Amino acid sequence: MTRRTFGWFAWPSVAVMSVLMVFPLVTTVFLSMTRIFLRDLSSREWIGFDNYTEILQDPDFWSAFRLTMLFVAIVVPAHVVLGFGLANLLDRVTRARGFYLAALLLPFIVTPVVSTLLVRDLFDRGGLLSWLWEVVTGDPFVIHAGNVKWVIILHGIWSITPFAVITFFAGMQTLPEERIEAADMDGAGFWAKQRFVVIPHLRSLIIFVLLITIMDAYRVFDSSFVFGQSVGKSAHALSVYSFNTALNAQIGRIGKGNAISVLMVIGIFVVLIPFLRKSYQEQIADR
Amino acid sequence: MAEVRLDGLTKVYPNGFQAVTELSLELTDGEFLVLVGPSGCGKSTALRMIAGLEEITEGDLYVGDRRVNDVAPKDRDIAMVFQNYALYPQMTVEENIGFPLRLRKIKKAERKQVVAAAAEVLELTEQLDKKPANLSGGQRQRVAMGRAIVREPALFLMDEPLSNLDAKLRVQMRADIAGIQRNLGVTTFYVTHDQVEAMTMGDRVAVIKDGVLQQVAAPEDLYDTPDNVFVAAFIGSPSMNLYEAEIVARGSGFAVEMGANTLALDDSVIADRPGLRDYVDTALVVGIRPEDLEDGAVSRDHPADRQLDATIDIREALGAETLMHFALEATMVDSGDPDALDELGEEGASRCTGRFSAATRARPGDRIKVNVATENLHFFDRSTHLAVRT
Repeated sequence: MTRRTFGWFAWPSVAVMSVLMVFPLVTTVFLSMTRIFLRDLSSREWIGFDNYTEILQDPDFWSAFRLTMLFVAIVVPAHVVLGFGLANLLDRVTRARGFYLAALLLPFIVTPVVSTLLVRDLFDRGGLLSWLWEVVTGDPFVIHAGNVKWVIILHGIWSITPFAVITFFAGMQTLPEERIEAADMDGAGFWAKQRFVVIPHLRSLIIFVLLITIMDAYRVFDSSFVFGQSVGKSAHALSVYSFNTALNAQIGRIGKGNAISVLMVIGIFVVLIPFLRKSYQEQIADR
Repeated sequence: MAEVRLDGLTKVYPNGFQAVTELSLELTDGEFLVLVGPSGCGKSTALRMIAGLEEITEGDLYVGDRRVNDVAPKDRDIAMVFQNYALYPQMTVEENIGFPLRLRKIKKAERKQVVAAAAEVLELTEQLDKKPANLSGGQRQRVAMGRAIVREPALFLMDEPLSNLDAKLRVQMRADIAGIQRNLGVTTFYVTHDQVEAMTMGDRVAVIKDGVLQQVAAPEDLYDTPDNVFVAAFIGSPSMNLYEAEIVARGSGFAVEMGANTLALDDSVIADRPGLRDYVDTALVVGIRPEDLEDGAVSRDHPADRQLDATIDIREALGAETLMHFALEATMVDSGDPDALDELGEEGASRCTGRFSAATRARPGDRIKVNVATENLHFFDRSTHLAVRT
């Protein structure tokens, strides 16, 4: 193929990518270096890295950063383990599989805002779990600035786990029965079979689920936003912090909000690049 | 290494299907027993019951003196080679072969030694660091064997291990497996649908049909003296030709009438099997092995009253011999083999296969005389399909 024909084939996707990705990214970076407000978009002032220094000195940023990191660090591994366990159970079910599958998928299907409200009503004063807590400890459970992050994390695990369940369950269906039986004959118990047969078979799916959910958990928004309405900043994750700064606050500091977004993009790259590199190298080695 | 005894093994599935009925077999120490039958005859179920992958509905299974019905597969001291090899794709050949040892917590150094020894026997030494995906079919097959060998089990189970190999490799692996088994002296239970494998590999062969054991015997005995019509047709390739017939008194001796054909019988045939006298003027089944037929033009001194009239349909020259298919005016008998390719012919005109010497000049369409070695005919009861041998 000549360079010219290659160009003809490639230009439509290059054009689409430019419009959808490069242009917004460049605009974001540009805006992040200006002072510009939502109520008056016409006045714009170039201020270099001032927004960034301001953010890095803002305790609200660090609070949101810590919450986001904690969320990713707990939700991602927890839901992979839980998803694997549930997929295993589902794999054992022979009757009414569809029913269980649908029931497991429910948290994933419900609109995140709605599911957050559900969880809030369960945990907050007057809710069922709050009442149970009172039965056990004597005091009703109340969501406040100190414990809200755990409720957000719990909700995160609950709502994302079905994704891992259905992916792993689908993967298990492609595992040849013979391989399990061979492990049986070779002397493998339950855990050995998981370790040497099932998990290796699901390996690429596990990596896929990890990649997707790290990105997804990193931009957690809905639950953080909803809880933020009642308990304030301590419920804010990075994306809510960015949203509030740029669009929600009285002034609407678009420049600063964009700077937060740029920092988030850099952050996710830092998290994912070693990951991507490792799985790429393995793919090459396996070939 | 041990004796293995199956005592009335029966398998009934939850849906009521009875796959195996009262299967009783004894394997002596070091014996290579082949269980052979057409597809869906219950042979794999039998094997899986022995392995412990399928629950035994009724009957007892002994390995040595131990009844193992309720023992988990891994504790039965039985190793199995699967049809699709069932290797672990993420492990190297060495890890695959050593896996059962690893699970038994055997130290790495010792494991390495045992695996190396097995690899030597199986000619896999060069491949130890490769993954299964990079091996040929035959090599994968040998890795699966290796995984079974290193355990030094009381019993090997093999479930159609050659069915995924191409024809040429199959012939070689057939000999290889039989050779390895003989060297190791491990009692082996081998399941196949291929009667050639059964005949060439087994010390003894057990023929099974619809979950019921038909006959167990050494390969030659199975071929020479089949117990019933099914075994007669199933063992041997091409299959035995089977027709409805009648024994009639003729002069001082006897003859067999098959449709429009009559073949004189040696006195010795009746003398060896006096029971045949009871069948005079009674319908029975007669069986003719293709190798007991010959072109009349090739061997000319054959008595004329032991010849069939035939019109050649198809000629298959194999070099050393020529298979000749011709129409015969007689009614064929269904042996009950669901895998049998030849459809039953129309009433009164059915097919017959002869294994002729390569010297035959007969061509399709030719009307020829076919010599029958009547002393080798097989006779079976018409209703029970059991052999008349006494």
